[in-house]
Amino acid sequence: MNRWKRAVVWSFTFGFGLIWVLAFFLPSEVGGGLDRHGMYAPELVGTRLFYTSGSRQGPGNLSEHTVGAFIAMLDLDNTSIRREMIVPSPFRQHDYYGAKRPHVFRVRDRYIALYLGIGRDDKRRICVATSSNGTDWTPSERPAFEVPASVSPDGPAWMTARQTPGGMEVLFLAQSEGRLIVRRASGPDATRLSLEEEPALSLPSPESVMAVAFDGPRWIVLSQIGTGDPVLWTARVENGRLVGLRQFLGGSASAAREMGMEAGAAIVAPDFAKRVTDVHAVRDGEALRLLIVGGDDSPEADGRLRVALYEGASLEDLALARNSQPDGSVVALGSPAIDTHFHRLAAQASDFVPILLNFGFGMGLISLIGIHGRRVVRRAEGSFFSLALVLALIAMVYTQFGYQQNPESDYWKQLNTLLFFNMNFPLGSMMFGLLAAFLVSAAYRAFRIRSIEAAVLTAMAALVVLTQVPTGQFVGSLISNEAVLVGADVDAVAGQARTWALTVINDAVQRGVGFGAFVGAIAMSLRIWLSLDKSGED
Amino acid sequence: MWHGAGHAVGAGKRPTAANSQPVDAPWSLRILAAILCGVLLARMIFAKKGRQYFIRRIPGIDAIEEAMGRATEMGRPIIYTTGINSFDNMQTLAGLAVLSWVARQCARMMVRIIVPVCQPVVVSATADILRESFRAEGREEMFDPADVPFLSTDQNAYAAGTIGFMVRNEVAAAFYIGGFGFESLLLAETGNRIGAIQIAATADYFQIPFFICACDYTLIGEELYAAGAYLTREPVQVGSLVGQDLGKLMILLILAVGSAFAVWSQGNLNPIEGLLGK
Repeated sequence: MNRWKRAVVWSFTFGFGLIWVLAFFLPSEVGGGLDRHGMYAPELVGTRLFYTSGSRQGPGNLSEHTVGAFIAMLDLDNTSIRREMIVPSPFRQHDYYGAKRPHVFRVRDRYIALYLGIGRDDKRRICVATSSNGTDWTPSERPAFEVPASVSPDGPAWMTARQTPGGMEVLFLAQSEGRLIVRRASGPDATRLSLEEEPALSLPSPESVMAVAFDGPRWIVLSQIGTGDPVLWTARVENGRLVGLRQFLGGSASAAREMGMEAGAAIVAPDFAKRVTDVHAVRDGEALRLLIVGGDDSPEADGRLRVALYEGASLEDLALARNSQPDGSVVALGSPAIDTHFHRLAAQASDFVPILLNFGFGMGLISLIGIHGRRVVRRAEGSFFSLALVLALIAMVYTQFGYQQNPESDYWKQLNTLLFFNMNFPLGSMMFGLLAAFLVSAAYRAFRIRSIEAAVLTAMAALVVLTQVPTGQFVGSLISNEAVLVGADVDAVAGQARTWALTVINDAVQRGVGFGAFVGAIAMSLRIWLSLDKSGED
Repeated sequence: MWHGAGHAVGAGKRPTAANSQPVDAPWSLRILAAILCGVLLARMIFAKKGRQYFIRRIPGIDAIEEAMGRATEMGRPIIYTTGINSFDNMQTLAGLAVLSWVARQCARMMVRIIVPVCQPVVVSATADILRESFRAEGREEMFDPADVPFLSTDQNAYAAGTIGFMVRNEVAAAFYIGGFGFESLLLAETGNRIGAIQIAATADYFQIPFFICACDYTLIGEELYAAGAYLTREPVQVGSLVGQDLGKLMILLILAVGSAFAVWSQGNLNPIEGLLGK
């Protein structure tokens, strides 16, 4: 590489790298990002707003570290008062990884909060915390209610709770075998809930219900219909089905009529709530208070979520209340985006990434056509396959151009369906089918005990397979039946050993590898950024 | 990346001025990253000024030369893959860094190297690295664009294509250096069956066991990022390796101290209180 070329490459690499390095290190007032915790699922008790903050992220890179979801409290009368109320604890198994979706009730002289805990086994459970003053909270040592694995292997996806004359009622979304069902659990108090046999509601499609709130027998449903923005509507439940009553907020009038609902939004939402993300309702004596969380994702907006509070005697006469902010919200969640020159520069720099990637894609395509085109021209061995590849490539590009230009045309639709869905997909599935069989046999052959490490891995794999996989459990039961005769409870011991291996050894090793890899990635990034990586030179 | 993606406004949409900002990292993380970078840079500078450092031996990397020697003796090609990821994954860059060294050795030993590629974006960079490496050794005629085939972005098709190359060419050695998915086992087991000497390097947790079981040598996690620098023995690179080890030591210390404080702060787990019976 000549000197000028090297200098240009170095300048680009260093310049772009510098922007992102500065964005990471500088304080947010100069160029950093938004409050990474975010806030959602609010619940209002008096003037106290309880909400979920934080999230779980995989260890993608250094800036995407894991932040366990936690429950926080904000006083709306004095928003400087913010308290982290229930935080995940390594000493509690049931909310080891996170606590979210709080529902707070005042029961006589104390407060009770029901929330979803994300356990060490990644399963979600309904947990309870108590407080005498609503400020200092003590989470229970045990979960309040655990959904049986037969109902939902991973626990509830969301939950909503309300007090009833008979005690407490909880509705939650169960996911089992690809089906979504809203189930109901009830009991005299939060710690004595029992699951009701009949589903409260069967849902027709996944992701169709994102949250519910209640006004007596009426449900206020936040749902996503198709790929559009979420819509709020009121409904009643008849024979386990939701019957829409009225479009409440968002969505088109024609869509409402199609669903058999009364069209026309019941309430006028502030501009920020064009995209609703959550809904909560609570009856406070005669008054109904409805919280709607929403945001505006238009380029002009600051990207923050806001909470609107509506109050009224019923759903029919709700009006915005406590609109303490100019935009009609009671509180804007998260820090505002900082719009500085540096920030705009970082945004523009990020736009270069897809441009460069697309250039690379184009070069890859040219290289592909060049290699296979030459083989066809020279009639090299296997040139027939190269010809098929080039023809398929041309056909697919031609079809996609046509289809994107005329998406309504039947001809292009059919051609796209034929090539993409009727040929490409089945061929991909066939390829996977062939490889899957090979993969299974390869797995058995590969695990040879050739070294101490391989022996330990094989022993661990055998333990997990025998205790977790259905076939393994069957084989394990045969072994344990023999063992029971001599008085050993193999099932219990093996189960504990598996849990220990997965949650203690496995977690520790993954984190160890992760730490090392992060440090290695930083070292390598530095070398590349400063153009010091010269691995191909002696 | 915006955290809480399921709830954030604009999640999954094109970045705009308002939401394209990187994550606001906590100060503790910024300070830790700054110290790590400082340690790394300091070691690189000291090494450049002539300070000699000892670096631990990594048998997997030493075996690369051995594998290529074997290929030379057998007169068969080697296969090298940087995995299924694109440039947005550091593991691909680490794989390409090692590739440039391996390609030069191939040019010296007159060994054919086949590098099947899974991402179209990586094709041109890979071909460029091979061409430059051969040119640097004065053997540009050895470069054949057909030895850098773009197979498919589909994992299954890529695995099947690479397996085909391995079997048809009866490769003497196979290098899997980068990020992999489930195809790791398919490739490594095929290499095992055809008797190739195999060296793997990945930071993907779930593929490491497969490579350990089926390959002759496996570089785990940070060893992948160290490989390129280790091979050259160039002072600045060696300095960064030493800095890398110091960084790990630092994190280990933080972990130990943090764990002790965490245990201490839990009254019921405090060993002293336990002993005193409080």
